[in-house]
Amino acid sequence: MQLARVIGTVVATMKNPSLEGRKLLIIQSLNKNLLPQGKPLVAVDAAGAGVGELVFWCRGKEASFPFKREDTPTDCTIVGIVDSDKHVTSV
Amino acid sequence: MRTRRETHAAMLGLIETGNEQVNNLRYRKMILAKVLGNVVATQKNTRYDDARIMLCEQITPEGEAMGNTLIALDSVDAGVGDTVLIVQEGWGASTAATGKIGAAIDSAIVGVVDYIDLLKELPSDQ
Repeated sequence: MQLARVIGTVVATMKNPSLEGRKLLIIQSLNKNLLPQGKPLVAVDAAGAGVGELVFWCRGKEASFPFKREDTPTDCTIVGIVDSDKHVTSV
Repeated sequence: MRTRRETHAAMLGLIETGNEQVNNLRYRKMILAKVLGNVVATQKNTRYDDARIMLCEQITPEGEAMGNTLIALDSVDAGVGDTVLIVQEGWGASTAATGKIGAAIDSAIVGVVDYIDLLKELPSDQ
């Protein structure tokens, strides 16, 4: 899992039926100092996140597990919302 | 053409290959990391309830930070500053962190490292 900031949304009308009703967000992974790390990604939302929020996301096959339809085609899913920037403690 | 040693170094992220994230996605591996702190999230997937969410930084066997931070669920009571072993595979991570399979968890701390014994010089490539 990695920390990320939600930086945008994606609208796609034509998509796999199992993605219907799912929110697609653009996220930018962050490092320990909450600075960008790597390239932005598209993630499916499973936590009710919105633009600007600090979240963490899960990658790979496990990313489809939060959904009832486990065949949901995703390899990047937002699984939690960090309470605030101050709730990330690092030495 | 890369030598075998360079390929291994690339898999471990020891040499620059352009996009670390791609490397992370491609290679599911056990990694060494240092625990930096924790993350508090109230609204999260229900399978994460009661889990300790730790912020970690991958390190080389020599103990140098490699620059990529990740989040892992704790299953062994690791503390800040500890060197830990992180498994990055869904079945193992989910079982270790929650006791059940099928949770959306891709990394879990499965051990606290006491010490690492390392050859002073790596064997040369044949």
